[in-house]
Amino acid sequence: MERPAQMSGSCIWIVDDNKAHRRVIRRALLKAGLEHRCVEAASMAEARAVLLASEPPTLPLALIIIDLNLSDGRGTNLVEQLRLSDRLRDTPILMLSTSGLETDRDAAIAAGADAFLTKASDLEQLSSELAETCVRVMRSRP
Amino acid sequence: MKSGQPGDSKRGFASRPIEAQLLRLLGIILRSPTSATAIVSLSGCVIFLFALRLKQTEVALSVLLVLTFALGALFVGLLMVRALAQAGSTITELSRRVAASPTGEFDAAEVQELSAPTGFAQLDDLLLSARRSGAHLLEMLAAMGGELQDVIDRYELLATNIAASVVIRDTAGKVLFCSPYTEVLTGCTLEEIQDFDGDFFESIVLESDRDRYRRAIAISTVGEDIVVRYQIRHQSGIQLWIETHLVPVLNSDGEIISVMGVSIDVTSSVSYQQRIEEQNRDLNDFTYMVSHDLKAPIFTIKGMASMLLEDLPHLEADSRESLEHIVEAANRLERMIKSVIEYSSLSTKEFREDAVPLDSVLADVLQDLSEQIRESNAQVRIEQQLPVVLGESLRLYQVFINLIGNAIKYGSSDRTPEITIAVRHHSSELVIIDVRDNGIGIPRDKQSGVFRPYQRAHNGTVEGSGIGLASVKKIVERLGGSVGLVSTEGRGTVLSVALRLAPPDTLGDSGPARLEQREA
Repeated sequence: MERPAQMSGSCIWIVDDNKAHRRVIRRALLKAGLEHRCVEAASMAEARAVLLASEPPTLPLALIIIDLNLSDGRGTNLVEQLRLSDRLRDTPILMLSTSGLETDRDAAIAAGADAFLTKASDLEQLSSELAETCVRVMRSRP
Repeated sequence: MKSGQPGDSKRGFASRPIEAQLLRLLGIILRSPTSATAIVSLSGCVIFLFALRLKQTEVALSVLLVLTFALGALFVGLLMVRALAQAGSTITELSRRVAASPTGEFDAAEVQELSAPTGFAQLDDLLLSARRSGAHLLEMLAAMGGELQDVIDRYELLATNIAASVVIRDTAGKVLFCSPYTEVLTGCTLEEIQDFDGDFFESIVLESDRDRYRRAIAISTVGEDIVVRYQIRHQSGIQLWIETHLVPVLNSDGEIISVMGVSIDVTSSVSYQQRIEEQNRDLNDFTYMVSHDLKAPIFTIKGMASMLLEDLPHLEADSRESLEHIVEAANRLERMIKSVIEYSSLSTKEFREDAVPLDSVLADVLQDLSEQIRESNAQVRIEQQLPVVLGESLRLYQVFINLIGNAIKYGSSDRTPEITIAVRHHSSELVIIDVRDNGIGIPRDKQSGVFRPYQRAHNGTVEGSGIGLASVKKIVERLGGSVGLVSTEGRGTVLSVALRLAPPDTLGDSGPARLEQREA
């Protein structure tokens, strides 16, 4: 497993309305060697309030992980809004969903996400997929 | 013969008026054979009487002889005239009746009574054969007339009672024929339809469908069959879905002379179709819900259990086993959800129809099952080269991995599993492929349920998703084929799939894309 060391000193945002899922994702990131500070948001509104505020977040953003189905709307809408912001245009965004449906994958990529991952229920599998995808996404977005 | 003579003498004495008059009179008299014979006889009598008075016995005897011949000739002549007249009237009557009886209401026996025998054998034979021919002709006409009437009756029955509107129009669009049902379909009278200036149907087609309707009419007038569906506004105001089959009618030279349109009310089938589509959408929504919402708790259960197992490395063996049970149950639930989604997607997803060589599908299947084959020590044999069929390689792969996988899974523990794949029936359009095993077989009472989802013949004894054979059936049927089963408990099972053969000109498509597809 390749360790994306260049991301230390920055933070990873996790936008997911399920608290337990956020915990599992944090653990998977840790297992994947992504030892960043994690910032959590439980809704699109919460994420927008900070990410799109006139005052940028204190820590630089390494990655944003957004769940596809959020309590206040589709995660793809949030991706589209973030991509309109100059500050976040090039920030790596990864979408996650419990479904592996082709239509969901296509919608995520069309909205501007860099990658789409199914929430593999196996912790080992999820962390290795996260590690691989994050390295790839970080490299493609300097 | 006699009528010719006065004409000859007339030419010789025409210049003398009185003699000419006398000769003409003689001619008129002689023209009639009866009067001529009568005059000859009368003159004979006079000469005979003179001869007697003059005691000229020889002359008198000669005259008597001539007289007897003349009277005999007169009698025969009269009989012949009568017979000819009879024959003539019989033939006239026969032709009259033949001409007047096209519908066969003529009794052939009547012909027999038309004429009494004339007494002349040849004439009677002639009359008899004329009578027979006439009667035969009449019978034929009667039969033809009867058949014609049947055809007319049937046509009328059809045209008046068929629940379809039949309209025949010439190439300019003028209505030539309109069946009575058209009134029911449109709510307008036949007169209104026939007298309408322009295309009546176009006038009642809904605006949104009018272009489609016009295109179909245009296509039919260049000689193509076409079926078009559109909505009309019935006279009562309600909207109906109509399906019209337009058929160009050609003359013997192959020119289009008219277009026949057969229209039926398909409103109920369209609404049924719409309901099915709605249910399909519901099913898709349900599948989506299942794949998202039911999977979410599994993610939590498994994630948390795995985290606990990681966080508590020194957990007691008993507690660790409990956590592992949770993970295993979640895994099982996950597989079940996956199978539900897979099975429901078989109903809604579009299937491609490529030409797929079954040989390479089977090669992939056997390769992917190699571990199970090795473990079970099974002998798998493909009896002959398999044909190229119509379908989607991924779906055909699913069919055969299920069939062969089942054959291995349900092998008998007391003998080496033997699995044979063979082509049983090979026609120009269909191929039946048998997958035969010597496994445990399926109990008779469970056989009817094996193709239904979640109906497992050996519940609990062998691990399975419960949709294997149901998926096989669904896929094969959606590819236009069918499935069959013959099984004897304890002896083995033959599962058969009938698949459509690829037309020869499409061979060799889509082969290389197969593996990538399956892995994707």
